Amino acid sequence: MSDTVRKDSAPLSGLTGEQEPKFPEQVDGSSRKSGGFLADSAERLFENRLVVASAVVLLVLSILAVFAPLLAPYDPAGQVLSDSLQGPRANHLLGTDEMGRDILSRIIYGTRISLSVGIVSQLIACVIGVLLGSIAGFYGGLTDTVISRSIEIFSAFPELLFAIGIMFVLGPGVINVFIALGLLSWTSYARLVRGQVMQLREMEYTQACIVCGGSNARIIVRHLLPNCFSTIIVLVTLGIPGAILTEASLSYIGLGVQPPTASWGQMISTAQQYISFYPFYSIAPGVAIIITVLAFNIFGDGLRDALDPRLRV
Amino acid sequence: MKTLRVKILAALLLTLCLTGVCGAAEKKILRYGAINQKSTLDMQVNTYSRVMDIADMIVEPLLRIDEENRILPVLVREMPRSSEDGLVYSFSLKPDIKFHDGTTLKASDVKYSFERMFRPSTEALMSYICDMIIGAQDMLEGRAESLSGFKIIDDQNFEITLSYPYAPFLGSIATSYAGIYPEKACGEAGKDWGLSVYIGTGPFKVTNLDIDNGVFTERFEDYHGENQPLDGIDFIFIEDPNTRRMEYERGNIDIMMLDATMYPEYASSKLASEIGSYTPLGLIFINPNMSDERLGNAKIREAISLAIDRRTIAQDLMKGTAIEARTFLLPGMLGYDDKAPVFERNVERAKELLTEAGYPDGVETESYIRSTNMNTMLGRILLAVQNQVKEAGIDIKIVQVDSAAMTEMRNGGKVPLEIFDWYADFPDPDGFIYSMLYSSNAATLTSNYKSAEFDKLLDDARAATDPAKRAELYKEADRLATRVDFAAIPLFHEKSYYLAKPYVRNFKMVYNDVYHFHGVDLDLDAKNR
Repeated sequence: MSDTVRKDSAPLSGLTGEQEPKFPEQVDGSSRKSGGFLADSAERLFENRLVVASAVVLLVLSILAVFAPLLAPYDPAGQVLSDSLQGPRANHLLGTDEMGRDILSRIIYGTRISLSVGIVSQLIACVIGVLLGSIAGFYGGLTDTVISRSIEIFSAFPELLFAIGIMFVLGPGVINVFIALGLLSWTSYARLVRGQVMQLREMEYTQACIVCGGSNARIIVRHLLPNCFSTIIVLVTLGIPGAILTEASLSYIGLGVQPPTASWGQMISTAQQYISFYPFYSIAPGVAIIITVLAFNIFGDGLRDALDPRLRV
Repeated sequence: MKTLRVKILAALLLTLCLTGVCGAAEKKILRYGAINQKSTLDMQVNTYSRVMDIADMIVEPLLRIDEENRILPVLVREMPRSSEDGLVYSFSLKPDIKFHDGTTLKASDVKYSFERMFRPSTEALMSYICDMIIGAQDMLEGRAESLSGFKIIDDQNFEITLSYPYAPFLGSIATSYAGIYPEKACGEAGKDWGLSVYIGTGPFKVTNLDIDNGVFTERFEDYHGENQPLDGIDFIFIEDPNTRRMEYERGNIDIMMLDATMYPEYASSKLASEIGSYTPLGLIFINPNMSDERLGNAKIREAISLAIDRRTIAQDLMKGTAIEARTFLLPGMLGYDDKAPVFERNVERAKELLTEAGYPDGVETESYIRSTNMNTMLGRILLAVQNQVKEAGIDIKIVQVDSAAMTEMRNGGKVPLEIFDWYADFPDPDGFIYSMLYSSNAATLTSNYKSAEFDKLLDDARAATDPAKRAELYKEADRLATRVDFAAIPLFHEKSYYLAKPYVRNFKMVYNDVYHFHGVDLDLDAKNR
């Protein structure tokens, strides 16, 4: 039964199905071959050179994060006090900081913090948001009212201020940054998933499933959420850069990752006092943040375009 | 033609007026880039030098210590006389001293201020400075409501009797902690005292006390002392040190502290001529919490001390702006042991001590620091120490907290390990080591050091009048605290720096790292040139 429903469900959002390949061909006259929804989306995604470039950047960043101990030329916490605040040179490509630590190595290790904060916090937000959003959208009524009001309450706070508030309660540290940012961004997931589930719930295939006695949990997990998948993926990708920036802001004011762990926000905070004397020290972690955030944003935009059926025509 | 001339003349006159030649003279307001400690200005309940910068211009003690370390009469006609046995001090107030609210200073205000310090409800932090006044202990322990050792003779004259002859008594009552408050206004203000109301006899009176943005003052025209050249002082709170420096460079503030981390850069910049330096009577040290499960063990504290390479930090990190400390007491101070050896680094011995203490695989502890201090020299030193002690297996986790939380945790004795800078309250060992490490003071400054032997040495030193005897007792107490109990781990005596615009005249730093602005003037011609 479920297979039938899933098959049925596909054309609803115009995502997959056997009829679909003909449609775009007829409209734009292109000769795109259909390979199913995912293959089709991937093809669309990689048609855009900017997206490809951002995907390459993200791949490089991921490699840097995973293999940081192998790639970083020095220990990021290793101090050579007599060698402090040196400009870029052969043995320290980006120079050294005020404690004589290699800035390049600290930036490479900083990738770990930024990426993990970005991804983990968005996963936390995603789990909370999707769970509550789908429950609210599916059950409606009082459940929906309570969850929707909670969403409104949580999103009423200014983002950074709310994060600072949570960090004050939890105390500084990287795990707490995950939690704070997760609590901060679940509302956007919940809101979108709720809307989409509400819409899908009224679809015939869902009704059919209900009539056939499918349990609510099964309907939500097997039939509704798979159709929200593309929305969730795009939200995660676009949420990561926001989380990276918030982590940098929290570390900048001393609430995020604690020293001597290298974090880009903290590096900028320290470098700020030397900005007129050693501008390169501030610029380096700043550029790292810009590149990462930009890459995630471009990739997220590309992903949205590729996955959005309405943009296919 | 005549009309045109008149018009030109009128235009000229107007221009002159507008440019200030015949307008009101520009006010001489000194703008000090202050640090907000998020604390009340009431000096009975805080110990911050940065609060003293402000409070000392508003409230005055009976005496004060000048930049040459001389004790001068302020509210009294002359230096108080003491009886032969050194127990009774007679004071005579200057006539007709006004508080900022227009009331006249009387002996009863002085008595009130002292009694307030000893009243348990005040929760005063530094009552030690004169708790040898008869009756003080009874008040501190809640057994008495008034100070029996304080005798009012008339509105101008009073006597203070001590329970033992305390040699540095006059120095101790010349500190900010012994400021004289107006009985009526202070009593009425209650908990607002120092937060929204702060009145004294000082040369400047508060016009706006904004605990978030700054304290703004103007010259007190009825001031009893020498007239001050400044029309007012704006203590502008700028939390971030970089913003403070940028404001200075833009000319929005006239004077500010310069953290030693930035000294090498500024010394080679165009602002080099505006840097002032001084050596305060102070010490940077590590303050371990004796009530902490791990740090309560003296072997671990000794291991920390042994694992630190002070010389490298002083030379390479602090770039020669500091010297290695060998004792808690300061060079030149009574009781300073100039033969004490430097603290040598010995990582192997540190590891052995950890094993003896039951931590063969290393030990973990936490160090709290104000987040605003992380980018100052204190933060840098902490980072270097963290890195060095790791080699011996000691893992110090740094936790940054905000100022208000830090004050609360420190006063409650809850900080496991803190890097501390401490300055003498008055130039006597009692105003430095007693104020920090005597058990009752250590409890509110987080170290929780409780040693009967150490306390007894300090008690004896307080009661002794012979300088040689006092010196011996302090030397021994210092050795006990820093070499046996490791209650404090001395690191450095630091040189301090400030930036002052060339048009700021007559500014001099005092011994205890407090910025005083008595007699400071602004050369407006130079400023506007």
